[in-house]
Amino acid sequence: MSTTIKVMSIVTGIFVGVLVTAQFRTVTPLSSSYPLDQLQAQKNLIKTYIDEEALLKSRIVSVREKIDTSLEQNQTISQTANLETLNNLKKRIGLTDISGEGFIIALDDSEFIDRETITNEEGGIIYAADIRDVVNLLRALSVEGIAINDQRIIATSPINSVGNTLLVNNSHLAPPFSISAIGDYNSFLRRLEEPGVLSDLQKRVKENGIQFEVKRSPHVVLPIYNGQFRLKYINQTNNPSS
Amino acid sequence: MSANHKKTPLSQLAILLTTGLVLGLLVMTQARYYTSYVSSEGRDSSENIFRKIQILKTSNDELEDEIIDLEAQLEELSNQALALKSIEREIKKNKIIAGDVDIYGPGIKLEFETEISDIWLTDLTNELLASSAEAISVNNIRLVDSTVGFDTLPNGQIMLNSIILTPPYTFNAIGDKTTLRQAIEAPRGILDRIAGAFNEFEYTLEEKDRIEMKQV
Repeated sequence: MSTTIKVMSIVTGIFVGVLVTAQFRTVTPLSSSYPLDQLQAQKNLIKTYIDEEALLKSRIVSVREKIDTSLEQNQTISQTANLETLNNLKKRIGLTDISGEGFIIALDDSEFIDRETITNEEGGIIYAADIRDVVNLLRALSVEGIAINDQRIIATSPINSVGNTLLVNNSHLAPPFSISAIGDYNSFLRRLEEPGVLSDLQKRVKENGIQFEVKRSPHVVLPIYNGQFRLKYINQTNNPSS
Repeated sequence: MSANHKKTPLSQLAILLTTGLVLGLLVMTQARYYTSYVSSEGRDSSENIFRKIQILKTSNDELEDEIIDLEAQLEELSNQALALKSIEREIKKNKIIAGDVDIYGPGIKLEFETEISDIWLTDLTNELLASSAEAISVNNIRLVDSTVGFDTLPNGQIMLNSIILTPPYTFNAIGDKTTLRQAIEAPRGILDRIAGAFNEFEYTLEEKDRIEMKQV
């Protein structure tokens, strides 16, 4: 093969290579294509629901405050009704703010992670399962209360991963996550040192750059639960002992 | 011989160019598809978005119902005759939530013998809650705010509420029985994932008209 042909072959190869590379780097202009239009509409719909949810939850807190005020101000009620029982129950099920000594766990994705572009197999992001494991560990330690960012955790709080976002109490939460607990800081640290405790998370802290920090706090404040209680299918048994 | 020698490189060039062109077209088509796939977050994400929309919509509907109930309660408190009844109703409701009374309702009963780790028990519980379970018990231990979480002892035994759990593991959940069953039995759902982690995993799942749970 002559030198000219060799040069032409090389030039052709380079030209094709450049075209292919350019093609890879170019985002296909799909602004009017069906999938992206649909995706944008879905994202807009989600944002609408999230905004609506925030509004509804703030209304719930507001109405609960009005109910408390009404109970306190009505002398007849406060003298005859069993408000102490009601208030104790509210405290036990997360319907009051509580505060006390405890600790705050700061959890965040690796610094090098962009949630918008990663896949589900990325070890550097915080998953709902990580949060669930931490919450279960805190429950195993019998802490007095837990909150994640502004969401109070109760017995029926679901913690889910949907795509790359987290839903806690069906509220959309984004990192960094701040898990607050009222309880014994030293007990939590001791449990962390035990083999097998939060093993996957601790492994990814070392290997994938997940950010995990625990800080003691003399005054942790947990917000009131601002969601709904589902009692559509539950009935109380007519039992004298109940 | 000399002519043949001159023709061969030209035909080689033609083949080379044609091959390059076809290859280029194929790669470009693939690249275009690949770019489109990533920017639309893929089919899995799309499915998840639908799920997220469904969860948010249902949740918002329930929040609206809660507001209606609370506003009715507030209204009742301004009326002396209704106020005491309203408070008693609230106490009754909160006792159910706190686990102070026996309860019953429709739901599902899931049972399996496989000794799975506490992580899976936590995930299974969470999946039931995400599917609108109103109350859950594991081996007759009702999960309420005061319940001590799942824990694994050094010998591998799992505790819940400081009680060692032994197989069979029985999850009872009160709620919409069809929704609960469909949610945990869904393809790639929680039971599928557990089966993927434990080859020998087998379970029985029943829809029940009446599931009973004792007070804590």
